[in-house]
Amino acid sequence: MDSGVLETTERPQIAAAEPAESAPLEFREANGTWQLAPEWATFLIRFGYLWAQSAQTARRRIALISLPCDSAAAGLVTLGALKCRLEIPGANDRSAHFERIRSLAGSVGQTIDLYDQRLRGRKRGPYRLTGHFSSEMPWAKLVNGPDEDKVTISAETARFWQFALEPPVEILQGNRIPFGTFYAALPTPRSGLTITQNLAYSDSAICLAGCPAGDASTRRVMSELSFRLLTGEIACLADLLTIHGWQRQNVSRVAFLNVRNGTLDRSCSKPQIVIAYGEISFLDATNRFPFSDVVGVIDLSADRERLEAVSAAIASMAQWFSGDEHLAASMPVPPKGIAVALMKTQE
Amino acid sequence: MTSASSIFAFIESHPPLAIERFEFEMTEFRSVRRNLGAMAMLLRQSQDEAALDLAATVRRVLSEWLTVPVSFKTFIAEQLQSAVGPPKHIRARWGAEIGDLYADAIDGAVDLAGETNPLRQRLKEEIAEAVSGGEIVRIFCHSSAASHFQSFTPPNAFIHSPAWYRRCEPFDTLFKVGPLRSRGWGSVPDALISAPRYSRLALFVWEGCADEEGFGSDPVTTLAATGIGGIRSTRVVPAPRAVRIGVDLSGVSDDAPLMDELQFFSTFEPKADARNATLVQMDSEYGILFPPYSHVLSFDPAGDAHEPLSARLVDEDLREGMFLIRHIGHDVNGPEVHAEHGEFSRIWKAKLNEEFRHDRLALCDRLRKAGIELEHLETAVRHWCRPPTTVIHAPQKRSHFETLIRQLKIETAVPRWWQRAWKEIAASRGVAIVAGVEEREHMDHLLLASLGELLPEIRQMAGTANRHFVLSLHQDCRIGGTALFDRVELIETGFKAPDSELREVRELGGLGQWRA
Repeated sequence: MDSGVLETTERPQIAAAEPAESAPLEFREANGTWQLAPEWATFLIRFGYLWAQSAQTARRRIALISLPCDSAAAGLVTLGALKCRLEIPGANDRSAHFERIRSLAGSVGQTIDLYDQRLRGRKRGPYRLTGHFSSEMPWAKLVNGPDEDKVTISAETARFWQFALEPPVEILQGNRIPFGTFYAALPTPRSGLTITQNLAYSDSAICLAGCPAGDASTRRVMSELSFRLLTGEIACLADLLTIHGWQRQNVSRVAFLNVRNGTLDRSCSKPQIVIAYGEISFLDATNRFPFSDVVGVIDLSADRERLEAVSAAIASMAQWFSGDEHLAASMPVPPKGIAVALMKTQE
Repeated sequence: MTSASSIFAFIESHPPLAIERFEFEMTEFRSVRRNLGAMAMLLRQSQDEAALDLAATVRRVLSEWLTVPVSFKTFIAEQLQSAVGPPKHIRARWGAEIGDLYADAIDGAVDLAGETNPLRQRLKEEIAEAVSGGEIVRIFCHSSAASHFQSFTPPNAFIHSPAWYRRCEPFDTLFKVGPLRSRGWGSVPDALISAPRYSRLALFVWEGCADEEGFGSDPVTTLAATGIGGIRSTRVVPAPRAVRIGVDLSGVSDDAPLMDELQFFSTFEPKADARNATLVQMDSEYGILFPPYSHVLSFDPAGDAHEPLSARLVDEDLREGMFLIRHIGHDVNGPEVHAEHGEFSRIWKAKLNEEFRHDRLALCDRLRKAGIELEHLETAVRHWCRPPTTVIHAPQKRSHFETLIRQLKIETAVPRWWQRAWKEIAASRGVAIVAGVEEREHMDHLLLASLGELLPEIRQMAGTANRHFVLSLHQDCRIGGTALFDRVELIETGFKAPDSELREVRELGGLGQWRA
């Protein structure tokens, strides 16, 4: 939701970049064997975590991570950022969701459908927003229903209302995303913070811009990388990212931009952080989200034209940005084969 | 697919990349280079289309010699003459200066005949030593250059494209002939340096051939070079260890510096309407250039393919091993055409074969006098006699085809016979029937739907076909005609070609001129 950038929540101080205690989490790539998360994967998860942890609203930041091959690296960075957001109290879409409903109710001619998750059958929806009963209570009218079939939506009841084709803002009946133990076990700096509360809510502050080949290809790459707990539970990266189109039934903590057709899976024109999978996605994201922090994850074995386009884009940005040496110093040293550039807008 | 973990494990466990640069000198070859280079430079100064075409031909020949281990024991003088033409023709057409340069180049090439190419010899020795030492070796070269390596290279050692390199498991030594350049003949991806999957790079180059400045760059390190902070990297680009190897056959000293031809050729401007293109190579002879972001109908024979039949982006989704699908439908103004054993090609090829077998020299003489002025006419006619494969083999030019048919004196009551036969050839080459984008998309949609109903049959045919098969779309299908399936052998970026060269099946030899 639009509040992703402006939402002010309590942020923990940037944790020192010392490694976490040995994480009881195993890792496997497609057709590979289980092993402790390798250094490259650990680095990327921690990078995502620290990047999200150090987010500022005043200065835009751009990061570029180059790797020697195509991989699910963008997903790992996203996973680290997702965990960081889980640890921030109130880092979810709940208040932004109601603000969006109120705003849409005042718009003439909008045709966005909503559904009341509490109900079944015809009464579930779709509904359209048709104005305000009071400034704090928009009307929602049942589409194709009689005029009297309309209800008010309040700040308290907004969480029951789900926009068509978008994830619910909250899981009802006390359910939550079932991967809390996986997130807790990720090799990020120890923060001592709990992540359980946010597992019941959607969040749109982080956006993954998929690879140019589109949604299915991105999902396939993310599905080929899995984690296993010591208890034997297994989850693939695609599941852990909770992208709405890949799981449908649950809340979603990561928005997804399908770069192939330019569609975003929800209304969030200003995500706080965009992680771009590949050169084309990076170029797309830096233009599409001019107020968001963008992390580009590029593959050095990609075609030269693409890499040159990235170099040109970065060079043109350099007049507005300066190197973020402070953040670079707080980041872990990248393993051999990875290089990272961190920039922020000049003061 | 190579896993990221295996690549990182390789990088972590191996010392930094070592680059060895073997640089060769040979006086006679230097003379050939110098003359051809000067000739190309003079021709480039002209605005005449024919002069630019000839410069492009010189570029192609010389670029090839500089980027493959050419054997001087084969007659490179003949190769040069067959590409450029007889010296007396060149002198008559382009004057004394160019004529003299060309004649000197031919003389130099004649002198080289029978000599040992020191580059080729050392490359053979280095490969043999590496293989005997148990190393896994790879050779990076374009597919059309592989024949120059095959006699001394282990099977399956080739890497022909950036996509191929991306799929490679880590290995020990990479061999490459020609300097490190990102474009043109012998071009290689920057990833060879910025993302090496091997321990040692052995480069074999002729004197004067420099690596491209900035080759192997990484956008992150490029940024660092501008002085901006905030960079974290442990990457080191090693300096090459140079080994100079000189052979002076004539004993005549020639210390004048050589022009870097590959650098000079990189300044050749593409034709005004040229645009970026990706080559999809279907077999060892033919390929199609597609503009960026083209959707092509294709079939993925993999058992677990999510969408076996789909319109795929050439640069993103299409892969080697898939089948490219071309549709040959009904032409409202002509006959239904088939690329295999077409109605018309059967007739004229039978007649051509008959005459060729009876007296090939007389046939070629007749064709030449009638206006088909091709340097290797006999070879060309032999090629035209072959039964259809990916395309119907026939003259490239419509006027040549008309002449051929007239000379064959085919008797038929069908009006406009040769025009219909030409349409059949054009259709097999994929020459598009003029149609708007929407109409083409609609046709593609119908074709995919029709093929979807025939998927089991397609799978079966793909399982038994080596490279190519044809499927007739029967009456129950939503669209008629024939679907041609060609296995994609190689996908290669780095071309710039005019619109007239795009989306049509072309011979690979001719497509080389469009390398950017």
